[in-house]
Amino acid sequence: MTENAQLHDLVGRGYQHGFVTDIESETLPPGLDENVVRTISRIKREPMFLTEWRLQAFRHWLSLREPTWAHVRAEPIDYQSISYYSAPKVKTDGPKSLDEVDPRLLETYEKLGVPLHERARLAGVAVDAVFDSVSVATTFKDRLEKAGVIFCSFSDAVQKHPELLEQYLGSVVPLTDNFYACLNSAVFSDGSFVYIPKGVRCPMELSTYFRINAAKTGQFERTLIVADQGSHVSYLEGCTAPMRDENQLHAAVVELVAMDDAEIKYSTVQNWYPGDENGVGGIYNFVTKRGECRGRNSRISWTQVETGSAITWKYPGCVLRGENSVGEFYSVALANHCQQADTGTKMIHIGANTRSTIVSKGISAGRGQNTYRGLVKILSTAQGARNFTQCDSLLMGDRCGAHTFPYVEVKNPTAIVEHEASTSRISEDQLFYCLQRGISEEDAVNMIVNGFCKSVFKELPMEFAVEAQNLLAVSLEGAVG
Amino acid sequence: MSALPATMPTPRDEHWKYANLRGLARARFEPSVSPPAETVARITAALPKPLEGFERIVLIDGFVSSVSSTPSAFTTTSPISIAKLNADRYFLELNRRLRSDTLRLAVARHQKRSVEVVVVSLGTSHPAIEIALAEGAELSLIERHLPLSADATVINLVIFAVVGVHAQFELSRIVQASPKAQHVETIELRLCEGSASKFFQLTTGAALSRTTAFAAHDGRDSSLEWHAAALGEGTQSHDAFVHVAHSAPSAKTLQQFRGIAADRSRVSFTGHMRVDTNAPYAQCDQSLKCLLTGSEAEADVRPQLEILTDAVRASHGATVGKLDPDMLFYLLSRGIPEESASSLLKWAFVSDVLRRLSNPAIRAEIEYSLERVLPGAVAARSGT
Amino acid sequence: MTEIQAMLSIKDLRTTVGSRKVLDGLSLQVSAGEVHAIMGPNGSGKSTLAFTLAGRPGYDVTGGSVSYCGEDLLSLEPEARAQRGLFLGFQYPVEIPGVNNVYLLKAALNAARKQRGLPEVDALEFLMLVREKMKIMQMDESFLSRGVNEGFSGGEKKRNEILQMLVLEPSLAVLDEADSGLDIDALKVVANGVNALRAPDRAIVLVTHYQRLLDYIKPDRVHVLACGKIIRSGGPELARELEARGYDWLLIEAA
Repeated sequence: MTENAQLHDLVGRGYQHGFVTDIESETLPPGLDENVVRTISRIKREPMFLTEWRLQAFRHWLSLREPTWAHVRAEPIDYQSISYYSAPKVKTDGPKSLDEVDPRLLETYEKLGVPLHERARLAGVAVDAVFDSVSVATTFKDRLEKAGVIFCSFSDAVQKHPELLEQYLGSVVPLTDNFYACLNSAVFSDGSFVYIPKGVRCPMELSTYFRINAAKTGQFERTLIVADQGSHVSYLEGCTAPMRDENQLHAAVVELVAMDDAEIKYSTVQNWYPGDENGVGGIYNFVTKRGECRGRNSRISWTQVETGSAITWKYPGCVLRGENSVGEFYSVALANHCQQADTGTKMIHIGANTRSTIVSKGISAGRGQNTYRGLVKILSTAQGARNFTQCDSLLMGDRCGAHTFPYVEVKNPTAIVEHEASTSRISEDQLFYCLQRGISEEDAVNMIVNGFCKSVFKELPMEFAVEAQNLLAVSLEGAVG
Repeated sequence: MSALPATMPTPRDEHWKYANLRGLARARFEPSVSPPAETVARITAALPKPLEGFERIVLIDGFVSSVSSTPSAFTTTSPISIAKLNADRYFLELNRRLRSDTLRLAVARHQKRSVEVVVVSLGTSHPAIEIALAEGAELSLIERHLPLSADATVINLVIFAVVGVHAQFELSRIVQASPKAQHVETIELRLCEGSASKFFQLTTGAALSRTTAFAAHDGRDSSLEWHAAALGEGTQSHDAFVHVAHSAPSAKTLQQFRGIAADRSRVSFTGHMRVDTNAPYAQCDQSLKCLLTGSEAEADVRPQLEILTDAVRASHGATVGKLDPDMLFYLLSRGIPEESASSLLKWAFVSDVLRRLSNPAIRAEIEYSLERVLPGAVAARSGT
Repeated sequence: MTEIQAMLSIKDLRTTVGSRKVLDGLSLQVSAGEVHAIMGPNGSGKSTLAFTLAGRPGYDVTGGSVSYCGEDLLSLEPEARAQRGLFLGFQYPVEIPGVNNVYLLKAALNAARKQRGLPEVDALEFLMLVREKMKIMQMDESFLSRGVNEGFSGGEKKRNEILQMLVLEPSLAVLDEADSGLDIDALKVVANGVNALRAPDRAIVLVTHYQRLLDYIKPDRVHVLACGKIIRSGGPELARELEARGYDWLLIEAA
């Protein structure tokens, strides 16, 4: 059967993760000033350097303007009406083990299909769950510790590994990088920290599950992954939020560092609440993700499936500094109803013989607007650099939009850069062929869309690939006919 | 002169991202001075033979030269501009304020004309050409820029054309600027129902050149082919921004660019195609390719698509790279010396565009003029 | 046959491609007037041998020597090798849009004539020569106006390789898988072309995976190339034996 039956089952349910967990939270009053920044830092019991870093970011942020060049239309955000910190109330300072986690929280993650109980775990995936602003649970700590892998919430890392944070935080995305990254640097609340020591192959997939629950809050998490020489890690990220009428801001920063011969695979299935059919509500997902291949022969691979959010604005990129380093970007972005997705990547080739591959699949339906925006930049030092980009758009409905804005900038004559792109609607021939074989229109569309996205899905870890397909089916609901 | 309504573009204007704005800021755009009679006589004597079957009009520093032009009875009303953004209008406005003559070419209903416009720039000039093709009219226009001056000339040219219902327009532009020239141009095309337009441009020479072009498919079933090539050498900078808007159904655009950047030159091209909601059944194809042959050369390309309806078939491809090593080896393995082999491949690279130049006389002339840049390659053209 | 007479003498040739050692001590003698077939399983180094002889960049010779007509072949640039009458028929000829087929032929012929101190070929004579050879290869007139291999089918590309060979009249032709992807009619045309070139002062090296081509072009010698060296040489009967028994028995024997 039964993949189709499953898909069919899922179609029609709409956004599944729109429930609200009734849980007592500690939330800062809305508004942002230096005091709020200091308060967040104090709650987190952060060392001096971090408090100063945040304040420096905040002061710089005040001098910045929101970017306007993206191909998006958004209601202006009132940064003073957002609460910058919200945490589920706990009796102790933080959960020491799963037993201390509020059962309603565990239940929330069960509902989301992310069981935190290690007994009922997804096979071999260690999870760090971030609920609103804070990490509520990290699983598999023991096994990871044995391998020497550090995988913990950012708050934990602040306490236990401040020296690593001081060394790497902001080293890929400087706090002045852009408006949202700068804001994040000032007010980030939690996130995940991963350190893979030299020569270690992380024994299991690592995963963070982000959940926005509270109303009128922004979520500003920060992820930092450092893969030391010759190490290897695969990291998954999932996101959901309740259905709410107002727009909520999610401005995360993800930094990856790969040293000599190290490899980081970062996969995202982003399913924030997209708003309703008329574009009311939904998450503003303004995220800065960047990896630096600092060492020779290192590799950073981004795979993303973006089905959620009212507005997505993210360009996971790779700075290819090390010789022979490799950057990859595989993306499926869907914009249905009134969603706007503006996403792509930046591949900056600095080192000799660096290589990058970009595969982007954009699907536009309803009144959705999908934009690929990408930069391939070959600096004069990048002897023999190579890039290949494939960028395809699929259109479903005469009121949607598909836009492609690639930038190719080459300063080294030994480099080769190739960009290919196509835009088309679902072929009537393909559709008719399926219908003639007795397949319902909706299933046929799902099959065709899945085929269109196949080259990206195959880059996802198994469990995520299935989830991604299902999500796509759900998100396309109403796009047909 | 009162202040311009628009401001000089800055690097923050997306459409001007790769233009040599510092060079443009330094250029002295002054009102042009009517050339003295002896200069006109000298230029007239130096002009190449007129093309057979073509009426000739000569513009010297933007002034229509009555001495060297064949008399013509072309008139037209002044059309409306479609350039939208302020920065993009800057040089257009500058031209409007400083232009001396406006060359107006109008082809009446179902009439057929062939015109050669020779543009000579000796100092500062603001040539303006306005073209109107009535229903079913046909115009083949060859616009040639001759590099007759060794001085640092400044040219800010404007072309505006309305291609009427079922009209056929072929505009072949050969911009061979003098080595120190600063060359800016703004081109606007309005394409009416069922019209067919073919645009060709070859840019060589000039210290810096910038083409800003807007084409709009206003009527259904109109078609546009846009073929452009630029060859940069030394420290030249050639930049083009071409915006094509589909505002009516079933329109077709094919866009092709081939650029070669040698030495320390910079070649850039942005092709922006927009298909509006009311323009279904559009077909857009774009192929932008650059070859880097200089160790410090740079190429920037942006093949951009903005599509707001679903009944569209669009494709684009862009490449930047060096000479294909497999092709090179194939030629070497046949005994062809390395220098000829690489000239040959450069020639082949731009020939995608060059072969679109339909007038054989001018094509041969161009091919020979390129001999200096691509030695030994001329005889290699297809169809010999 | 003695070494002095050999047109091509390969001794202990070692070639690496990237970081991979492909040819590992290959030796081979080919004399004027002979047709040699080099056979072997996929990946044994047959194409590498062809490319090494033609001087393709990226095929790095790390040891051994190749003498061709008394000259050190390996010290020559690829175009100089061609001008001295070495012709490589590519397995996958590249398409070069924008460069005319006939122009390439003429430029190549003139380059070789120049090397021999001859004047450039007369245009009319040249065209007649090409037409005559095209007839042998049963090629269409439209070929004359097309770009090099541009839009050619696999079979047309192979015919074009042989056509170029017939026009250039090389002393040594190395044909890499001249028969791959051809149907039986096309195969006969290609074989006719090759046979037309056979002469006492020329040598031909056929690199092929299958015996099929050898039904139409009778080789004087057959060699089996495996693991980067010649592991067995014999007469035409060796090819038939390979056809019947495959390569495995030889590989086992050699190991």
